[in-house]
Amino acid sequence: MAKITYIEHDGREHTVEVKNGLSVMEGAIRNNVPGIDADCGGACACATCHVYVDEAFAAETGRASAMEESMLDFAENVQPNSRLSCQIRVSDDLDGLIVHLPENQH
Amino acid sequence: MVQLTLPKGSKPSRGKVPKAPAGAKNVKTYKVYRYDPEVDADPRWDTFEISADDHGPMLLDALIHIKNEIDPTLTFRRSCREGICGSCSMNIDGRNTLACTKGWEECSSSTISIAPLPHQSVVKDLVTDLTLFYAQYDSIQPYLQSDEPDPEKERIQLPEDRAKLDGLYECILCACCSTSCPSYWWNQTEYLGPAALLQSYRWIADSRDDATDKRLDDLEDPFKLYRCHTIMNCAQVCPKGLNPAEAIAKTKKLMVAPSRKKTEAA
Repeated sequence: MAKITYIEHDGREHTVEVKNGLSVMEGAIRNNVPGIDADCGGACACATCHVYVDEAFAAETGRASAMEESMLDFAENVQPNSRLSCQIRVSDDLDGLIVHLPENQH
Repeated sequence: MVQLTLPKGSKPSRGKVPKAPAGAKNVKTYKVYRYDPEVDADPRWDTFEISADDHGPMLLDALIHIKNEIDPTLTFRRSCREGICGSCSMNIDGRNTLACTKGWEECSSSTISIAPLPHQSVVKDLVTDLTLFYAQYDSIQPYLQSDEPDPEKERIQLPEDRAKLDGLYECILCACCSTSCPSYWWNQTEYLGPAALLQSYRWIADSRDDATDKRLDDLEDPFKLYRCHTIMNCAQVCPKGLNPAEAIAKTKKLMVAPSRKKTEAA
């Protein structure tokens, strides 16, 4: 279980408990956090669950895979800390994780 | 946390299980989705065991055999039985395709599941309501719009211009692509879907059509075109081997082309 804070583009914060094994995307969808569309359902195929991972958690969340990188090419305003949240698996190590949501998904 | 429950008519139960006669050889099992919204509270999976020796090589042959010999109430669309009418599109073993061009020998599982196209309301059994799908096709104005006066004979087209329609004109409007697209599942009232967009590009790409700018203007909308996120399910499932996602990408490129004239600019 990890406590994850999703911060919308306008600053609104949503802190929810997410079970281990789910993705950061699923944590948002299951808790009705707005700002993540996740059209493809978590298949790393649509780039509509784009988030910016807070710098403090860069190491814990790891790096994007080659496939994720190629999907991120479709997202808007990609930054070095951009990730697709469906590809970040939740574990105890991510307790306290903060992700920032982009203004809109592409 | 919100408790989500499936709406009425969403949970299939176990239905009838007609067995193959004793001694039957080469028996295949078909799990077929059955639902009559006027009579049934919920859909059911009927499981038919039939000998493949009793019918032809395609899934459609198996369905016709079931309808003729076991259960005449089984309802499905079919017409040409050669992959050109697009009527028998359905979800076979989890993948949208045409029952008439899919051989039962191609199905890997011992039990072959046959369900209607996903995320469409079911009229009966394997027949879905495609009213919206056809309305979307109608909305892209699928006919030639030329500024030229009507010629006495045909409209001439260079072979290289005609070649630009290859991979587009072959679409049979079976709806396999649109109903396999998650973007279409979630937003089908706003997003036109891969089939209508491929058809739209078929007219945009036609050298004889003069309405390109107007056609592109009509797609200038956050959902109609831009809800395509290149998930590519459309190209994966198309039983005609077409690539609607590529047609959508080409349309998007034309949207931002320097040569583009917005006709509504005022």
